[in-house]
Amino acid sequence: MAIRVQLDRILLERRMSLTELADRVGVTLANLSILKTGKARAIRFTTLDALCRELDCQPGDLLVWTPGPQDLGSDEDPDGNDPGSK
Amino acid sequence: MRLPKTSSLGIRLPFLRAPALPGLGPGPMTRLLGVALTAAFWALTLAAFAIALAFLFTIFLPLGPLGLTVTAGDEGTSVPVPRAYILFALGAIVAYLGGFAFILRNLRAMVHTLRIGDPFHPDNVRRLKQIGLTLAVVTGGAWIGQTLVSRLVRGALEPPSLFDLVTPAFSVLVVFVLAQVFREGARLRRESELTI
Repeated sequence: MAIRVQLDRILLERRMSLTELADRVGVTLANLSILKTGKARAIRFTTLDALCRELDCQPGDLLVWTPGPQDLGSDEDPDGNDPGSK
Repeated sequence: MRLPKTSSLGIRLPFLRAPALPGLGPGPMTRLLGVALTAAFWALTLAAFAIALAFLFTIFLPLGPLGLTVTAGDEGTSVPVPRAYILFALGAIVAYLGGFAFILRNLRAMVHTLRIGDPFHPDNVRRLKQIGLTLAVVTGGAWIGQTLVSRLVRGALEPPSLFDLVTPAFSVLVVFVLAQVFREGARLRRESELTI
């Protein structure tokens, strides 16, 4: 996935822990971890809205697009396997 | 073909409103299915087990050929059935009942996932494929068995025709198509899980 979520950097800048952010945003810690580690496949606007509100940032600060050779036009195979996990 | 747009007459017919969706999710039919599948599963399993015991006894008991009489109309044809044929028939019945018990076991597991609100569990794809394969083997095997028996009592029993395989073949196709639908459903479920 070419989209990177820069939650680590912003949490460090705001001196906030992932647990505290999860409580404020209303998302479970497990789901926020999925987002932080780049395993999420999609994010709801409501979640993005809550994150930007609590972290006082813009969506562009959180989400960055960095294309790589394997990410251009790639998609998971029909068996639901993530090519990045192979 | 595009139909011309007409202006609204401003009339609302309340009884033509789209009905509210009935309560989605597992309902009484699911519970009924679960009970029916459980009862059928245990009945078939016990029957298969009983016939398997009969099969084992037949192996060890000294039995001569049985003279079975097959009656067609007013005449009866007496056919000596060797012990090996009896063993084969018992084995075939055990396989037949066991195959359907296996299908019911998979169906029970699928209904369980339905009751817990997770019908597109990835395991259901595998279960549907297994059901399709088992159905194909059992119905095909039964057809072959009937053909063999009709040759054994030639003239007294009609051999099955290929048209008898049409309905089972369609059933197997439907199951395999459903397996692909559930595969896509499992993928969407995974996507949904990873949507934060």
